[in-house]
Amino acid sequence: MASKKFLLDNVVWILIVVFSILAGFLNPFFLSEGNLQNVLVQATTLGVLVLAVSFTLLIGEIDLSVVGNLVFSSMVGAYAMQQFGVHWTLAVLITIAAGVLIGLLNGYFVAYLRMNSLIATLAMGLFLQGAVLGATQARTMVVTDDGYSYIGSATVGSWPVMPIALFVAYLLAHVVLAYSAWGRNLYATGGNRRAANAAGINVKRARLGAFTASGFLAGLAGFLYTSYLGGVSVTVGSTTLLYAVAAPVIGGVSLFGGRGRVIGMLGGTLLITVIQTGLQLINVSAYYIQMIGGAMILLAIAVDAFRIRSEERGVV
Amino acid sequence: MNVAEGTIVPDSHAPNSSDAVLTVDNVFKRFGPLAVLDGVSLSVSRGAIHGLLGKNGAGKSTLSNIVAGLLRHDGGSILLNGEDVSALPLTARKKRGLHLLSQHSEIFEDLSIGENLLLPELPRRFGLTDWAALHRLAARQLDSHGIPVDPRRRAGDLGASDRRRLAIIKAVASEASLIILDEPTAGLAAAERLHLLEWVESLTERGTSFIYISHHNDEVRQLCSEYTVLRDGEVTASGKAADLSADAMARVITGADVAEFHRSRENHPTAIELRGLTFPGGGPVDLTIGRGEIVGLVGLLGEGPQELMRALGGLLPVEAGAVLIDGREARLDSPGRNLESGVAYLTHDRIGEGLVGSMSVTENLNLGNWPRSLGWLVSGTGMNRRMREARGAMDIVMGSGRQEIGELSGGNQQKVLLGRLLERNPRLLLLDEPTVGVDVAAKEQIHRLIDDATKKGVSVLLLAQDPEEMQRLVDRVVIFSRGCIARTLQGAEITIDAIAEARTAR
Repeated sequence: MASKKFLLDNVVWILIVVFSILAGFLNPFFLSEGNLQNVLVQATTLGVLVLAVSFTLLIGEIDLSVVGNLVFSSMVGAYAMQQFGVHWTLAVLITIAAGVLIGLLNGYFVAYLRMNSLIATLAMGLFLQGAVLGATQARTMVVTDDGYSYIGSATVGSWPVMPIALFVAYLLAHVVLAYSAWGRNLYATGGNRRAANAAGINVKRARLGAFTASGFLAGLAGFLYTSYLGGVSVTVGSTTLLYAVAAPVIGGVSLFGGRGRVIGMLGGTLLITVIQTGLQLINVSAYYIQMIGGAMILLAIAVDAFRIRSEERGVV
Repeated sequence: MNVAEGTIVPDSHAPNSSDAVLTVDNVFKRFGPLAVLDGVSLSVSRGAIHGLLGKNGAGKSTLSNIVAGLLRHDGGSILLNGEDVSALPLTARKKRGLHLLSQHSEIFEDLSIGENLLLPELPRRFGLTDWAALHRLAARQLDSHGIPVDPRRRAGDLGASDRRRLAIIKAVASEASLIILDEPTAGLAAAERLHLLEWVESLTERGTSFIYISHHNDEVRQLCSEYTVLRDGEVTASGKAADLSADAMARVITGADVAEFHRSRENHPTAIELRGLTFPGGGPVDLTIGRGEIVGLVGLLGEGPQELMRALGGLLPVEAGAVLIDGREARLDSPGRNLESGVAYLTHDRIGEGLVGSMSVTENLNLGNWPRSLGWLVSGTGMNRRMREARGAMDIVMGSGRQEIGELSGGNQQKVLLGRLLERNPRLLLLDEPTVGVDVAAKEQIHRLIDDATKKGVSVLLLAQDPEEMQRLVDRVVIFSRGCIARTLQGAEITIDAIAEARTAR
């Protein structure tokens, strides 16, 4: 029983290994140092977005505005540099602050006005992406500041710096979620909102906090992505949002709230990135990559459902 | 064969499958380490009302859930009209005429009475619902049971008694051969209870059989032709109800193996004052509670006692009035604030409102009251220390603190909840059904823990369905009617009968 549970909890890492060996067999370059760097760099923006979505999944809600938030907050940061010539450090803070504000607004809608998070954040995301398209007339905003784009482009030796941001973000998220009172309150709220409330936890504040954290992380992802691209790409694909929602679930975060470990979120991120880059390297057409991505998500949800079923063991 | 005291050996009551609607043979069920049903057998005769008796936690609800197909059993077989239905799911058993009507009568409040009666097979015309036929059919059914209500009315507007009747009619109309009624009279006034029981009795003339689960021994003696008594998951008696005296029945239900505990009653200096407290569903309530005193609240469902408790616990808004603790007005506005002010509420809904099922035993003990280190981190050592202390002081049976809370038995879960509240050093403890779904031994332990708390000066308000439990624990009883305190029982006035009577009379 215990080993079965262990297996189910870590199925994502097994899939990563299996897929890597397969891809390496078909194209040996996949297992090279260069590709490992590539995977980690690709995983950084997605990984931070995955964290953002996860914070809201843990309280049993969802934030679908993260991609819109990413684009919007990076536009705000870039605009501040271009129009007002603010220093890049201030621009980073502005980018993240914009993300936090959007998160606060989402949190207010959901926790205090009791709006449905799925629809409210979907609408918010559409609104933000539309606003960016309108304001930029769909033109890419180029960011030339060396400071702003340092983290996305610098290397130490032959290794890119960017993945450090990924690991720092996950380490901090782990400490906050697993060990801080604030984090435990999120799990309690997601696990059983009424019980958390009766135990004296300020449930509304916890829910507001989860969305604010999500906004913060989406803003951070905006900075990282802009830094990496050297500009604000106004058309981040909608598949990015799909992957950002799918990765936590693949990594064992429950869609019903209250369950999920940070290491699983990382696993989900890496699995999706490994599959994407792997399929590119073995020359699978982009259209099929999307198809296989969809199939992988279905498989992951099936595993999740199986895990829930094996825990309940009910008749119904 | 060794026969324990208070056990009646089934005489010539060998299961006779020819005239039995239901035969349960040697059924086992375990929840974790706890055997909830330990080889239970019973048989229900055709057209009979079969009383299923036992204390809280004896296994009555588990057995009825297993028979109905809501729970899977670990061993044994269930025969319905001679057919083994052990492996069939709930819906298949329903089709074969087996219905369970639980305490929360299963009606769709927002649908009409007619829809409730006829779902899921509404009459159709051209593929669409034929409303005229639906209402005609429903009205005919209601009339034949002497309940002349308009089938177009919203079912949620019916009173508690009529809702239960509606659920029973629905089962009868679908040609049920066996209906399990789980506490159908809970929360009903005496007159309504009698009415409902007479009506149920009249239904057996149509050939329907019933399993009737109740705490009220008198109801069972009056209504049932045969009975089975469960104690700690085993059958301790069964037979014809007519052969059993009231005393003998009480004895086999209670058993003599658990040392019962009695409180010593003393005088208590005033500690808590409720002044003109008004809340949704009741008030104004004026009440003083002594230091270390246990005051029992009695009243019909929705008549105020539970609402008062929930308002004091911060789960319902306090609309007016004040709560004074040692003469100082307490700040009350949310569960968190109230806990800080010294008012702690133990919920009756352990799973829904008490525990976080996805968290560990230790985390549930410390929930919302995390021991801190560095101000913002949860101190693991602090949590574990509290867990060790609570485990020792409350005799919590568990593997390790890292276990998920759901793996513990009901009694141990309840101790964890109580431990969480006691850690807050409350001045006023609000106990809403503190031993619901708890086995007999744990119930005694919880009673002692409550008594110990009062010795340390904690004042207690108690709500308990079981008049016996209330009689044993309380120093005083206040009786609610229409949201206000109508009467008080003190000293020798506090008897099981007086409490039971007060519960059902307006």
